Amino acid sequence: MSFSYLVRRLLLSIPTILIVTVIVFVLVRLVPGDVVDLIIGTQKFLSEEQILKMYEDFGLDKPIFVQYFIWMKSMLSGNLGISLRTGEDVATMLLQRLPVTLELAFLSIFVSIIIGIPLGIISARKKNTFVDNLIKVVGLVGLSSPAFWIGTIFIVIFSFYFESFTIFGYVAFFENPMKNLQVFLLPSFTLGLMIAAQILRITRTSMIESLSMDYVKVAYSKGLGKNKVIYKHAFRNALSPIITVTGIQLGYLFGGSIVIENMFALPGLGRLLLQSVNQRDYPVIQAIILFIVIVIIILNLLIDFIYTIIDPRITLG
Amino acid sequence: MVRRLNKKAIVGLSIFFFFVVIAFFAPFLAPYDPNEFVGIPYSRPTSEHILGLDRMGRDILSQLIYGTRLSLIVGLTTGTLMTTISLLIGMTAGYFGGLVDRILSTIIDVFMVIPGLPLMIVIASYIRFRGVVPIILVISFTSWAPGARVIRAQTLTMRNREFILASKITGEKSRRIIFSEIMPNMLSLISSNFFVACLTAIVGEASLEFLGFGDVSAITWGTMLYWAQNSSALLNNSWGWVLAPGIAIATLGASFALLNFSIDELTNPKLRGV
Repeated sequence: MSFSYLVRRLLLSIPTILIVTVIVFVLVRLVPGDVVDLIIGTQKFLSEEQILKMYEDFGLDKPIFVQYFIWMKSMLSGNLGISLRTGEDVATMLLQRLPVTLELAFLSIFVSIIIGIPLGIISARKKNTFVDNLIKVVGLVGLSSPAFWIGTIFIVIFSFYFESFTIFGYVAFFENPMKNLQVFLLPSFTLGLMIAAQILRITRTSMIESLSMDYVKVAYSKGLGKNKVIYKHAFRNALSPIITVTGIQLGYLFGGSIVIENMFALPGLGRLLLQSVNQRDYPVIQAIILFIVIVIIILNLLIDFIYTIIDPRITLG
Repeated sequence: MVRRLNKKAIVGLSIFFFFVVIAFFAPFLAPYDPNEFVGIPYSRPTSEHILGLDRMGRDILSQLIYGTRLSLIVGLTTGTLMTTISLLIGMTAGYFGGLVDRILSTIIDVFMVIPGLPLMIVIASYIRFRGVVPIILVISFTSWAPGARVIRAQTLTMRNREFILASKITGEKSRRIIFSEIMPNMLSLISSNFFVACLTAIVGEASLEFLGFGDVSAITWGTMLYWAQNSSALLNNSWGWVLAPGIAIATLGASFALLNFSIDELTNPKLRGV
């Protein structure tokens, strides 16, 4: 990938990011019930002036487009603002929560790949046998059940049969690695299974496709072993669509993590987002969504780059 | 026609019609009124109440049966609306090209990168009016982009085919070309899109309602799970309350997934079974 290509792609994504900021900015402000209403709540003793002062302090008294430009200006200078509820620096809040979400994302993708790809290959090799049908049914369940429901079932099973197992209560990795992995086991399997179902399906489809190609027959007739043909020839050519689907799933992962982090009480970005939405904490909502969008754009770019590694015929430029 | 349907389509359609029948005849099938107090709360399953009772002593089986109605309506309406948005935007962008395509493609890109569920939650939490209509609108509004992208690509490849060029030369109006010439040629793509949309809608509805963004007094599978979670159903050993709605969601979702796969097999013969 040439450097100029990289720069061009990044420049092209700027309008997308700008539109996203406008949509998010306007949406969180459009509908009634703002942060000041929520802070006042049932306390009726604040005077009119005090309320106006509050709007002024939050910068919410200005027209919406002025607010937008003030926000953009501070964003561009690297200042994400402060939380309207706690007064904390938004950047610090994000950095605190980020490791939790990243660990969850990483482990879920890991789980989904080690389950999805091998099962997909087995399913393709044993096409239309009992094993294949069994795998397909498992995949179908993963595709069509809501993640939170699968999570509930996991919680029940583990709290019944493994009483010493820690399900809730986040522990940082560097504090106690074993405990940390224990806490992450169920959430990452819950999220991972959902994604595994998608990876499984595309792996099966694209392996069936590539196993029927002429070069596979040629490889067999050269006398190559079965495993070599399947993994070196067929699988390598089946990889592109698998990577595409995995990449799309990475995007969904952030959405899914909101539900899962809430279920398992993990203090990550998703949980913070839901809290901020409920508290109308505009700067935090805006920062988190913008962050997710930028991560997704960068991931898309990375995936395009990976294509060129696994398939030398593809060039970017 | 029946002979051309493959096994997946038959299973998928059977499940789907099974739920349609349940939804339609709910008042006759349900043993009790789903809102009526009929016994001790959190009762275990008995022969009178196969799935037990909920925290307010209501029959869970009856709720499940009545819940089919709204869950099915939301799924199908959202699927239809989402597919319509994808179709209109995708075909317009693909057919007209140029500046129109530029603008619409940028909008599609924007909605592709904004993660769906967070956006749904942000919008849903700001809507004061709770009910199924906001849920239908929120899911359709946030999830149409992937479909639109595929349909745009397909329209692009069709735009310069001879039969389209011929229609253009004979002076057909653009609207007629799009809807009577291009659209019928994409039926398999459109229906596969529709089934994916319905699946997204069923799971999306359940997730939003589970998080408490629906009308918690309505009876749907999602709100059943919301109440089950919030009344610690499992600590009270009310297994049926948690398992049944989830299984119903997964089964209906699976029927849409199967219908989608069956179309894949029609268009890609290599995937067909023996």
